[in-house]
Amino acid sequence: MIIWNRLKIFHRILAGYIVVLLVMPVTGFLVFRQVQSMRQGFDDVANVDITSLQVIDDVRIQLATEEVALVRFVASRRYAPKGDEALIASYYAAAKQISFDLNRLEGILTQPDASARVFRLSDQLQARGVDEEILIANVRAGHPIDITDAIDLEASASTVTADDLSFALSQDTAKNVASSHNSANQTFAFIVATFLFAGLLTAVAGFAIARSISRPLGQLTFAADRIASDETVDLPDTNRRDEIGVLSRALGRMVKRLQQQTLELKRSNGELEQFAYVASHDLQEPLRMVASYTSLIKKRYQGNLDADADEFIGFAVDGATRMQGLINDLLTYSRAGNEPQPSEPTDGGAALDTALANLRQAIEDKRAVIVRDRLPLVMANRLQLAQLFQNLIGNAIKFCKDRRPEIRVSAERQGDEWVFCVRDNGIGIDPKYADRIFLIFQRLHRREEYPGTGIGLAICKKIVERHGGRIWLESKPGEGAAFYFTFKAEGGQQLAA
Amino acid sequence: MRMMSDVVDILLVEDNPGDVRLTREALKEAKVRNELHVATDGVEALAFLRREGVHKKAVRPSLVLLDLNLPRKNGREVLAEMKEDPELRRIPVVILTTSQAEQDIIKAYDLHVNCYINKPVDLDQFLQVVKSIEDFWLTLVKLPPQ
Repeated sequence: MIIWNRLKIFHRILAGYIVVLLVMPVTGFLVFRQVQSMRQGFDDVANVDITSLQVIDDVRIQLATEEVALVRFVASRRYAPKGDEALIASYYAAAKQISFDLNRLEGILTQPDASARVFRLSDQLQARGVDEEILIANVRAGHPIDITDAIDLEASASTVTADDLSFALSQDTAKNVASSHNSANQTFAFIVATFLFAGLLTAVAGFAIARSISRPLGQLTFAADRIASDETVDLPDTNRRDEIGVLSRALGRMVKRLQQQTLELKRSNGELEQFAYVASHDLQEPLRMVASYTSLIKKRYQGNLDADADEFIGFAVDGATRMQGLINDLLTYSRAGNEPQPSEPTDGGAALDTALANLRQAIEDKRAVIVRDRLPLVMANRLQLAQLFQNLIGNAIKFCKDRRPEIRVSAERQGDEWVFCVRDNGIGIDPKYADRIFLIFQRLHRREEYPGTGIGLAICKKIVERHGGRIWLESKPGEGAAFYFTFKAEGGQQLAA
Repeated sequence: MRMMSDVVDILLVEDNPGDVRLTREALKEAKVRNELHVATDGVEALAFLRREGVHKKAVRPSLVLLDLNLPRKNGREVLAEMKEDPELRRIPVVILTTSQAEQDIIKAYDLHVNCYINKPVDLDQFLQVVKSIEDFWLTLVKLPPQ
């Protein structure tokens, strides 16, 4: 088993096939030999037993022919004093045939018992033949012969011996047929047993190979799944010498590399955020000084200097104020979605309530109509979801010229997430800007037309993406805009905020 | 009510001269007569409060305006040491900082700060904040006896 486990899968499968390949010819050979011996049995029955029976039958026929010929030859003296030569010719033909048949029998028979009987018959016939020659010679010489002499001669022991031989041979044949039948049954049983054994061996080899592959693969998959769900698990079988070990080690290298990259990404992401935060925070200090003191100059000296000075101071104050706004937004953006609070089941409706409460003044000023569906529970940070609604609805109210803003907030389940929609009847957005508007500080209108720095949608995008969702826009100029965004449904797989 | 003739001593712990000057300008318009003392880092602030070294003759202020980001010893450390010191823990401390970070606010209140105020970026709002501090801490509030 230890050696088995140290083999490569390739060699294990090869070994299995070799076992099967070895078993097949061995089985085939054994079956062939068994069938061969069975056929030998049948051949013996066909070639020896049946033939010898036929030959002995012929011997018995010839004996009868001989008898008839001899008796008639003796009897023929009544009309031919020296006997009828034609009749004695048929006697000789029969005698010759008998001698030929007996020779043949001697050649065929394998059993010593039967051979001994043939020899005895042969001897008896030879002895009788001598008596018969004397009889025939007497007939030819015209000596008086009683016909009963011929009949007695022919009824001698040799006839009985021929019958015995015939009986014994038929007994043997019956025995051999039975034994062949037996051998056929044995062959059949042997073939069945051999194939059962070969099948069992193949099944065992196949099972052992399949198991030796599927079990470690299953363990590897299990470990990989656990690693995928962020658990710290050692991959199994890293010491194995086979392909599983190679795969496991390769997976290990991949996991290590991915973990390194993730760490690197986290680090550089963190650095970037820290940079944005620090930069905007530290930039604020000197800027506050510029803004404060230009404001102080304006406060104290406006009207005391010439008109140019007043205008210059105005630009300086305006620029500093605007830059403060930008830096403030940058700070907000770098903070958005970075709060450590995790996602939890959050009522979309409650988040919308918060957003609408914060927007109360704007809603009253523009007499905006907000239509809302029942909103679902989603996995989100509550404050961030509220911020998201606030930015989108705030935009919808802001970018609505010459008419009463009508805003509809809805949600639709799609698989394991909810797709929210905030639709308005405002000025709309040319689809070619659909991507650009989500970038930080991107504006499509002059500041005098619509105020703002262009941070709101960038924050929306950041919040949605921090929750593992998507945000997009469907709109045509003049026909309002519909912003869609997705959040994981409650009970769906939780993603880190 | 405090007598108008009383001079209230305030310690401003602030490393940025621009902010010092702005605070001074704002307090010039105060109704209450006041004397603004300035420490430019945490170590100096504590020396002033404990009357150590060159500050041997320093007065005990009625109010401390404390920035969080300071050289040598930051505002949190100054606050922690003040609130642990039985001599100093009664002096109200107002944190006046640009930081809006949640953890800064929580940490300050954990250290028993008396209030936490964001330095507004806008001049008028800043003047308003200083005026509010004066109205509340120097006029309305009953401070512990010296």
